[in-house]
Amino acid sequence: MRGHRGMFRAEARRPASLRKDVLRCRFTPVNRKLARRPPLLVALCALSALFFHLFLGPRVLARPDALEEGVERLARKAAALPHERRMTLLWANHSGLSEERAERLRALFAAQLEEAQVRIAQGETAPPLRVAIEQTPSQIVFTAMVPGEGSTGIVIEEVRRAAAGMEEGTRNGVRLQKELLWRQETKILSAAMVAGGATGEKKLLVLTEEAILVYRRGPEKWNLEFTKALPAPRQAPRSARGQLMVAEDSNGRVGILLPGKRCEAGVADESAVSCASLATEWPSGRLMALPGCGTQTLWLKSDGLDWASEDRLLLRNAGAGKDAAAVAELRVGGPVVSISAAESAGSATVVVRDLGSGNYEVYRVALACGD
Amino acid sequence: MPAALFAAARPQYGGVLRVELRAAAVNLNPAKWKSGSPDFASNERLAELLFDRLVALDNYGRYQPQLATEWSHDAGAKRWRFTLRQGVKFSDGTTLTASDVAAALETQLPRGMQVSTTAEGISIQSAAPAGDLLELLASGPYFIYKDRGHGPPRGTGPFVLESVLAGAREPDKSGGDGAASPIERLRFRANENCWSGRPYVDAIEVTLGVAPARALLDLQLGKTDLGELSVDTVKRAQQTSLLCWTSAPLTLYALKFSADGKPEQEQRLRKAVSLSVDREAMARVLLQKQAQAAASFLPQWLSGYAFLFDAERDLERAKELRGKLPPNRAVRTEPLRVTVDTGDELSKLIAERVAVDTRAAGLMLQTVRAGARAASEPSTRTDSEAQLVAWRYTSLSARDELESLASSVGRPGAEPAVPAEADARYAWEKRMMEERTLLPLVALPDFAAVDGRVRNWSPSTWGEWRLADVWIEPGDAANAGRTAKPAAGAKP
Repeated sequence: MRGHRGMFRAEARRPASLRKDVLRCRFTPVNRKLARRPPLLVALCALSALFFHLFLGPRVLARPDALEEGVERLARKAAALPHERRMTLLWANHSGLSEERAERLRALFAAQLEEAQVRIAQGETAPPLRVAIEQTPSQIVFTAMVPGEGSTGIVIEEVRRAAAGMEEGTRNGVRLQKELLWRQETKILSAAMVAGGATGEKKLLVLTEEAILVYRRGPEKWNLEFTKALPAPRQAPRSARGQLMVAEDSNGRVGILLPGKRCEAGVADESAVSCASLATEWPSGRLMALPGCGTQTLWLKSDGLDWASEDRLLLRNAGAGKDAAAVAELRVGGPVVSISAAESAGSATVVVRDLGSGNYEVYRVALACGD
Repeated sequence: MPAALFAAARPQYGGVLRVELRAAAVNLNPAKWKSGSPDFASNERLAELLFDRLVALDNYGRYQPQLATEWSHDAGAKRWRFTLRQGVKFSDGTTLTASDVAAALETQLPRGMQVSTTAEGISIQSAAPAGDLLELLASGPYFIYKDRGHGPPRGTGPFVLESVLAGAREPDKSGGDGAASPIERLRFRANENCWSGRPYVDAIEVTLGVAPARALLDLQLGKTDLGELSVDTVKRAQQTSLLCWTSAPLTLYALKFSADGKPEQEQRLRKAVSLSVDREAMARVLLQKQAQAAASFLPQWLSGYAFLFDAERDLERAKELRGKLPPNRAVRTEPLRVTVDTGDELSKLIAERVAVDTRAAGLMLQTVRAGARAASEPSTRTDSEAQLVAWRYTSLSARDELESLASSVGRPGAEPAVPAEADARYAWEKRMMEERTLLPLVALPDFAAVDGRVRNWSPSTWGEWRLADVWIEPGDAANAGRTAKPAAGAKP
C-alpha cells in the first residue's frame, strides 16, 4: 500500500464518472485533453471536487510523515544490528530535502535510537554511525552504516518521493516581498485575491484547467467555499492557459480569460460561469502603486522565456521600456505562470511553478518601501 | 496592453525540430528491443514520440497519469488495477481499448506478472509483491501500442511517423520481424488529435547515423536544433552558446567474463584485474571528467546506495593475487584476451586503459577486435575470456534493472529473484559483485546540445527527451524558411 492510491477504495462502487473526477483532482496531467461533458456531468465534477477538498484531500495528498516513518523504520533496523556501545551520529543529506527537514529527521533518528537503548555520544570520540540521505528518480533512500563487532552493518530504507512531499525553501527579495498563500500539485493557471461581500473579507480565487475554486480566509487556513466548473475546451491544448481579471469595482464578479473566450463568474454566490467568444489581448503583468512608496506606478512583469527555468519578477517604472533597468526584482523558484490582482494596488497575486518541487504556488507579492 | 514580453514567454506553435542521432538505425517496435542494448536509447527516444505509457514519472518523483487515469493496489502490492483514459484514439483513428493495453503489456511484463482486462481498464497480478510496478511501467519498453503485424506499430502519442526518407526501409518490410533496417531520416508529424494536446512543433525530422563531431558542426551552423554528442564533443560544445545537456550516467562499461568461471584460480585472476584498474583515473583523465567510476552494477542515481561499494585501486593486493596464479598467467605467457566491439571507439579506449592498468600489476591483457556485441547478448567462450561490454540502463526500477543485468551475465531468471527491499537488494547485488562475472568500470552519461531557439527543453536525468513539450522560438531569416505555418486552430 505504498502507492498514493492505497488500497482499493470504498468509492469503488460509486458511478465511474464521479470517482474518476474525484481522483483526477490530484492526478490531472498538465496536458490532458478534456472531453465534452453534458451539464449534469459538469455539476457532478464540481460536486466531486468540493467533496474531494472537504473530505478526501488529506488522504490523497502526500503524507507529511512518510519520511518520518521511513526514518523510524531505519532506526529500528539499525538498533537491531550488532552495534558498538557508544556511537557518534554522522548525518549527510545528499537529497533535495531542505537542511531544516533533514535536521528534523536526524533528531528523530537519534531519539528513536535512544529509545532503543542505543547510546549516541555527543562531542566524544566514538565509532561513527553514518546515515546518508540519497535521492533517486522515484525514491528518497536512507542508508545507515552501523559499526559493530569489527564490521559495519548496512540497513537501507526507501520512501517514495511522491509520498514524501518534497519542500523547497523560499528566497527573499529586497523591495518586493512575497508571501506564500497556497500550494498544490495540480496545475494552477491563475490566481487572484479579492475582497468579497459587504464585510470585505478576503477571498482567494484559484483557476485550474477545469474549474475556478473560491477560498475564504479562515483563522488558520484558506477554506474552500465553492467550486465552479469551466466549460470544456473543444480541443485539448498542450498547455492550458487562463487568466483571472479582477477590476477594482468588480462588484463581486471576476473575469476569466480563456483561449478564444472571456467568461465571468460571481465570487459571492454559486452561480454558473458564463462565457462568450472573444479574442482579446492578455495582460502582460500588473500595474502597481503604493502611495507610501511615492507617486509613481510600476509594472510588475516576469522575465521568463519558457517554462523550464527560474524567472525573476521585475518591477519597472510604468513609462519605461522593456529594456529599462528594473527598480526591484524578486527571484522565484520557477517560471511565472500568471500575475493577477491582489486585494490592493500595492500587491499582486503571482502563480509560480516551483522547479524544485513541481508544485504550483500562489504568492502575494507586495511592494515594500525603504528597508 | 503591451503584450510583447508576455508573448515571448509563451509557447509558439509551428516549425520543424531537426534532430541528429548517432544511431545508424532504429527499431520502433518495443517488443523487439533488448534490455541493456546500447541502441535502446535511440529506440526509446523515438518511440516516445509515437507511443504513450500508462503512467509517467516526472522530475519530482511523482507519477503522472498518461493512458491510465488512476491506479490502486492491494495491501501486498500484488494486484494492481488501472483505469484507462476514455476516448483515446490511436493514430489510425481506432479507439484504445483495454485489450490493446493488455496485448501490448503481456509480452513485456516480467515473469510472474499477468495482465488481464477489467471493466474499467486492466489488472496486473504479480506472484511477488510489485511495489515498483509504477517504476517499471514508466520506463523501458512498456509503451502502449498496437502491433498490426505489418508496418510500424500504431500509437496514441504526440507524433505520427510520416515518412522514412533517403532510401530507408521500414523495419518490418525487411522481413516482417521488425528488425532494424538501414534508414537515414525519419519525419514525424504532429498528431493533431493527441489526447494530451497537439505538440508545439509541426514536425520532427530525425537524421540517423550522424557522428557527434558532425552533429556539433551542424548545430553551430544552424543546420540542426538538437544533436547527440560524445565525451569529447560536449567539451567543445560547452565553449559555445549552445545549451548542453548531460544525463545521469546511463551506460555502464564493464568487463564481462563467462559465467562458469568458478574455479578459485579464475576468481583470483578476476579479482586481481578488478583491483588493478584505476577507475577514478579512467573517469577523470581518459573520459575527461565526464564519466563516473563504477564500483557497482547499479549507478547511484538509480539505487541510492552505490556509494557503499568500493572500487579503489589496490595494486599491491593485485600483485599479491597475481603471485598466486598459475605460472602461465603469472609469468605472462598466456594473456587474458578481451574482445572489444569494433564499432565502438570508446570501448577500445577503455579496454586499452584496462590493459595498461593490469600490466602494472603484472597481468597481461590483450584486446581482440570483434563485431558489435552488447552485454545483453550471450558470450561465447571460444571468442575470448572476457568482453568489454556496454550496458544501457533502461528501467527506473532498480530491482528490474538488476534482474535484467543478472540475466545477461548468465544468471537466467536471476534465481533467487532480486529482492524488492532496498537492503536485501543491496546484499544481493554485493553477492553478485563477488561472483565477478561482470566487473563494472565506468558509467557514462548521454550528451546532447540544443540550439538556443529551442524552448522548454526539459529532459529527465534518466534520458527522456520529452520533445512534445519543446517549442521553437521564431527566429531570424535563416530560421524563417523552415518554420511551417501552424495548423489552423492549433494556436493557444
